[in-house]
Amino acid sequence: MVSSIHESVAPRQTMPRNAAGGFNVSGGLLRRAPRPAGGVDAALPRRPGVPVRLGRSRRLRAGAAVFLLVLAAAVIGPAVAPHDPLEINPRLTLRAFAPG
Amino acid sequence: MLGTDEFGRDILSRIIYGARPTLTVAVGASSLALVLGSLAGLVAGFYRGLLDQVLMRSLDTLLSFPPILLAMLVVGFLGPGVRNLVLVIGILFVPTFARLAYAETLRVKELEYVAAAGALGATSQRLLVQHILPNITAPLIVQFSLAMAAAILLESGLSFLGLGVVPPESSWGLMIAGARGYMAQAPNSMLWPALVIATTILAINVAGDALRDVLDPRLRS
Repeated sequence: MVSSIHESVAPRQTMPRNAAGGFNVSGGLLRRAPRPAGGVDAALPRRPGVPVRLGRSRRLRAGAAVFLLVLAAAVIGPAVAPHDPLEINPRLTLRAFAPG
Repeated sequence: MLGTDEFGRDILSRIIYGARPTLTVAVGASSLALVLGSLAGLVAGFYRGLLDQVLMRSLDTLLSFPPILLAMLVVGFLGPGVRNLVLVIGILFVPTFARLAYAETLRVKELEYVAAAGALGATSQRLLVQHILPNITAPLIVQFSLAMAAAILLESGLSFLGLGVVPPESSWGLMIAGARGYMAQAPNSMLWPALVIATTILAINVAGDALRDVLDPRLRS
């Protein structure tokens, strides 16, 4: 009868290593790959997240800028409009574009 | 600054004020279509059977009508106005969202993680809400942006025909309709609202296209 569970398990056999730190398997040498400094995950190529990729897209930024301008006009329109849009002025009909 | 229309009203002010009904219709109709269409597509794609047949064939019937003619018919019955426009354009866009959600649901529900969640005892509602819906949102967001551009165009068209925003309230389509009679004398009163409509639609389409490039994994190099 065994007194503890440790006694029932055979002692762990460690495989002898060669000078390069690898193991000799059937006469050949398996070299151990060098470990990356920041762990295994650091070696994988990391793709930036969706918010970063969205921010990088020039077309998206340009389109969103124009849309936000229209949205701002819709929201704060009454505050920025130079005149009342319903104000009729019979003396000023069909006036042309006059910058400034 | 941009001139005046046939009643001497300031065009710039009318363009600024006209953005509100246009965007209300665009965002409202697209949101309505997104919610109803996604729900119909999800349910039909997940449960299949008779429910799928009834839902998708009804939506196919709706899709077979020319949009502008159907919108004119419905607005003719309901009457013009922003609220009715949101309702009509929203319902018109439901089949597009439903078909997209349906196709994506059919694809996603066959994936291993959905089967694994089902094997672990997840209910149908949990599978739909927690596992399938989050994975079909990307194409639906892209479709939402494109539907907004289409809704602006449809709202402008209906307002141009006198079936949209009611005068004297300003709307970009209504401004073009009013300026049509004076096109030869004062082309600028038609030019500016047309330019604003075109620029807004172009901007939304460009943004939607870029959004699709970022969110669609099949387009990644």
